[in-house]
Amino acid sequence: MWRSSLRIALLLAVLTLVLTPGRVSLAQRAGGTLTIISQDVSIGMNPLIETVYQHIPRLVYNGLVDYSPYPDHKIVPGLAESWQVSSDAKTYTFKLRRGVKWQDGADLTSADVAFTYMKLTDPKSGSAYATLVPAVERVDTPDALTAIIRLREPGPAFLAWTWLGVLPKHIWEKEDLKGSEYNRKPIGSGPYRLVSWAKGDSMVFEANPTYFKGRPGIDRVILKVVPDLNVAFAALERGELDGFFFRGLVGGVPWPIVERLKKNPAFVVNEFPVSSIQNMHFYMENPVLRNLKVRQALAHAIDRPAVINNVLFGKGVIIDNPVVSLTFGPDLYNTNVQKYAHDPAKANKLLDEAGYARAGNGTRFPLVIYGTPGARAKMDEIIQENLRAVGIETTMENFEWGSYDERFRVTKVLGKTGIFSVLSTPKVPNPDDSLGFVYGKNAKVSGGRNFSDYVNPKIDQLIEQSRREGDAAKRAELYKQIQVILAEDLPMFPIYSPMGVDIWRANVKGLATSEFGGSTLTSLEGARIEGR
Amino acid sequence: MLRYAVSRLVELIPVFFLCLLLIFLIVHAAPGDPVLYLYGQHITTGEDLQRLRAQYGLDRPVAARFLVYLGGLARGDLGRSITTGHPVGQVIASRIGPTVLLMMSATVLAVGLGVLLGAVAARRPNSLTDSALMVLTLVGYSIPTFLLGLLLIMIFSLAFPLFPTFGMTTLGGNYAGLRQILDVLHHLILPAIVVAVWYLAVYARITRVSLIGALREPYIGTARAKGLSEWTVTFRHALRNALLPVLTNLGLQLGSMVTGAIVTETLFAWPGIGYLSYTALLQRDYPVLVGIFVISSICVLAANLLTDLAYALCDPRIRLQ
Repeated sequence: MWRSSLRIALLLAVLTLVLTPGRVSLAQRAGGTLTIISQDVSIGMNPLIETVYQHIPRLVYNGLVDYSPYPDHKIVPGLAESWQVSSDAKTYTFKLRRGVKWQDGADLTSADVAFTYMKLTDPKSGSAYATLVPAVERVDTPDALTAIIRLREPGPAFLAWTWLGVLPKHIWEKEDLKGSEYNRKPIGSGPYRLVSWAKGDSMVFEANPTYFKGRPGIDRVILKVVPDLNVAFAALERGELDGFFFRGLVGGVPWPIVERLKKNPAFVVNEFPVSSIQNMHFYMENPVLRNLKVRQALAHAIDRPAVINNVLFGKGVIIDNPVVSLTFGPDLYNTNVQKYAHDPAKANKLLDEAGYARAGNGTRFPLVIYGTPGARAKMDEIIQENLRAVGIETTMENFEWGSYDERFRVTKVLGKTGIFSVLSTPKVPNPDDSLGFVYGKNAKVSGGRNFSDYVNPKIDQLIEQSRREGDAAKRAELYKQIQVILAEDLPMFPIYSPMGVDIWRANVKGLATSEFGGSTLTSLEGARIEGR
Repeated sequence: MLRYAVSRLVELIPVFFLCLLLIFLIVHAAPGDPVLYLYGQHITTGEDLQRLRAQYGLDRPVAARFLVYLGGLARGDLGRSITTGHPVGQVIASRIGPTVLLMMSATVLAVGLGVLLGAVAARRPNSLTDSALMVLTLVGYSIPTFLLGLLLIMIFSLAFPLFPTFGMTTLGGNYAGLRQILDVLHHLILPAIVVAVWYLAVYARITRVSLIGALREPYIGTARAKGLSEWTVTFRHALRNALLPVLTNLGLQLGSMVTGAIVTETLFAWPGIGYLSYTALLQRDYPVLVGIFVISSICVLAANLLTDLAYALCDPRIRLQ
């Protein structure tokens, strides 16, 4: 009996190996299908409510504008073929393209734009962007192709947000923004339709034949969630997946594997600096950290090149501004700020001047370095040694991310006894979004973004001024002044800005790396797979 | 017997209630907040945080939330997922199939191979074969699941590309019929091995000890004296009696099967309950987490009840106590 069972099992095993595919690219075999390692949409396929992975709805929806690929990230026409901004930055007039259809065949008009933008900034609607995007007072629609968006206050950064997708009014006007089934079965104007979604596992999109820019060249796109990056990259090498687009990656990119893929001619590997900044926060209510010389000493003590070389495998850049990324360009990023090179001698001197001389055992004061496991913990180990070298007795304490987040954002206990790092990622290529981290009104409140509880009336004044300033050049000057003050005050110290990486099979043409808006997914609409 | 069964069932009710209370309290007491996970940097002020928490009912005291949950549970409603808004029952039901498939396959592999190895070891106790097998099972028992999984992927997916690295089906394959079954089997092999290894080690050791004892019984001497082959003596006579402890363990293990293997499912992106638990934990999706633990508790309690009833059926002394 068991011999028969053994024979059957062996036969099944052989059949399995013979009949199932081996090391073959799916992009070639499955007929115009591209499979990409991705995360899963966290709330829903709705550009107004999706927060964590807001680039994914771009496959189904279009915004009024888009972003051009890296390195420019310029605002380019989307649904709107042109726009004008009033001198006071309170009125935005968009001219829509003609002939754009929703995926159910209805026409996209200015009424849809009006509906979307009234919902977008209404806190009661359930929109996740209600307090991020400048508030909309009303939207006038003199004709089907013109939408005039009027803001309550001047909002020079408003245009940067108009990449967010427009919703169809005829579908959504009676729906609950969060609870609707259309968050799972969206109808947009975009290049792809979502045809199936196994939550937490995969999303399958098919080309929209009536897309206003023309039917996409790739028939099907599958976004596959693979939680372990080592397994994901193994699958990429093996041919089970076709691409990886860096986006909001927790734990960091496995660079040794990326280096191996660079040598493989079957892949295109694009490395690029991203706009995220890893800041070490100094809590201003901590009596030790409140002392400016102590903060400056900590900055001089930290060996940032060592962190980048040993933790990021060299894939990072030193940045001197905690709220303005290098990727925002030379017009906005101020290089003329106080800099903090690794200088333990200077750190020692500053600590002595601050009144924290070394005790008999060589230490000055205790400090905890809080973090999370993984790359952050490795960074903290290096910083721990750096601080010990200047007499600060450090211990490390790691938390799981959810616990860590609550402790620095809600209960604010971490800063009372130590320092903690937070990687902030701007949602649009505009400093305005990030200034909330240093804005006084966000300080000293549970849940506010000002994690250091830093209050500087001069900074607040400059921020408010920048939000009213309609002239781009003058606004840039205000941002630069903010950067100068922050570099002097050091409520947080920028450790590095990481590199990101996009990887795709070499036979996929037309893809372009981008960080903002729909990120690299935006270029899928113009991509094709060669050799099939 | 009926009275015994009813009394055991009644005893389980307070146990279940206590489990439910502990589950609810522990899940909600864990630091972190689903609103922080979902909205993160979209929260700009303290008012934002409070408003969002109120939208999800998280501003109410835990006791009030527990009573609401109890009321829903009485109606068979496990609540709605915070992240997706879908009924928890539906979410869990969609993931049970893959978990049962994985765990059943692993169990069959573990029991079949474990008993076989245990029997081989028991036939010659303290021999080289016995020692080698016990060392092997010790390694299997000790090796971290995550490490074993990665090793198997490196060897059998990359170095020798025989098996897929992840998932339950080939992406974009859309197979049907026999091809679909074979595709799933192909994907099942590595994760099933990873799950099976620990249980295999346990069953091998239990079988070995139990069979060594059984082979010392007088009836075995009789069987040998009758001229039966050693193979027949061991596998036809002794092993049947030696399997009782294995069956007991199996019965208890079946109850916890529905929770799946979190590490294995997550590593292989196997779309089961274990993987769902992992993502729900990261996202602090309280209703999904509580739902999974509640169903798991029910299964464990049911399995224990069935085991007790089986014992009572076999041994009247138990039900007369």
